[in-house]
Amino acid sequence: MEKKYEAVFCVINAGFSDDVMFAARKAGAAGGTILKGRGTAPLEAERLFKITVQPEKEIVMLLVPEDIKDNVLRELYHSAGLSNAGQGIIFSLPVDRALGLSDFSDKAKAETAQAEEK
Amino acid sequence: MTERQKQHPTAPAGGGSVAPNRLVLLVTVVQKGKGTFFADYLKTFDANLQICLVGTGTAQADLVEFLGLKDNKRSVIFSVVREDRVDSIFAALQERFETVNRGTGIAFTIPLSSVIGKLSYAFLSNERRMIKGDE
Repeated sequence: MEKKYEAVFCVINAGFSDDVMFAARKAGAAGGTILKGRGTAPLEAERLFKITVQPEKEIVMLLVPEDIKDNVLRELYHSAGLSNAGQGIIFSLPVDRALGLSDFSDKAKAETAQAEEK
Repeated sequence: MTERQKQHPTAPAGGGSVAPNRLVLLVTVVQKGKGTFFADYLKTFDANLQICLVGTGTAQADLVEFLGLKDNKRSVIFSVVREDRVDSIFAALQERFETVNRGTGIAFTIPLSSVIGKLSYAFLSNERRMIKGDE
């Protein structure tokens, strides 16, 4: 059966993506892609929730196996969530199919297994 | 559960219309510079809406070297495609990832739960028959 993946998105203040990747690696994620963006929020909501939305944002997109998704989310929440300087908003989306990731990791595993046998 | 709900688990329970083809968001991450090539290629699979962004890869150094992606600048393509095209797109992308020089990358699909507007849906799914009646 094909391995299931989840796409984890973390919208964070610019410059904090290293914290996100550090936390994600700790939870077992392999790598991610950082996209630059610009965030907006109504002034009234900012006052109500006592948060400031810094316009410069980074979006870290991580493709992680479904079984470690909860760990990755928890780790990101604790080290990059709204209560931290990065003010990260973290969510995940279901992935139907993935290409280019599992093949390589399977190949890598097969190669290391072969090397170990030798 | 009705037969239709089995086929479309996200369909509204109390009726409502279900589009003939479900849509998915296809995310393709490739080396920077290959974005236009892959975006043009995806156009041949009825992908009308494509958004290209520049991103930065963060894979660990040894893994990066293994994948042949030493340069960490990436092109990220978000495209909306019909679900029934995903099989052929993935087969084609796999071939391109393997054969194109510096063309390695990853691709994944996220299901879209809803789209509002007949014209938007017709555009996203490249369903030209849907707009013929309006002309």
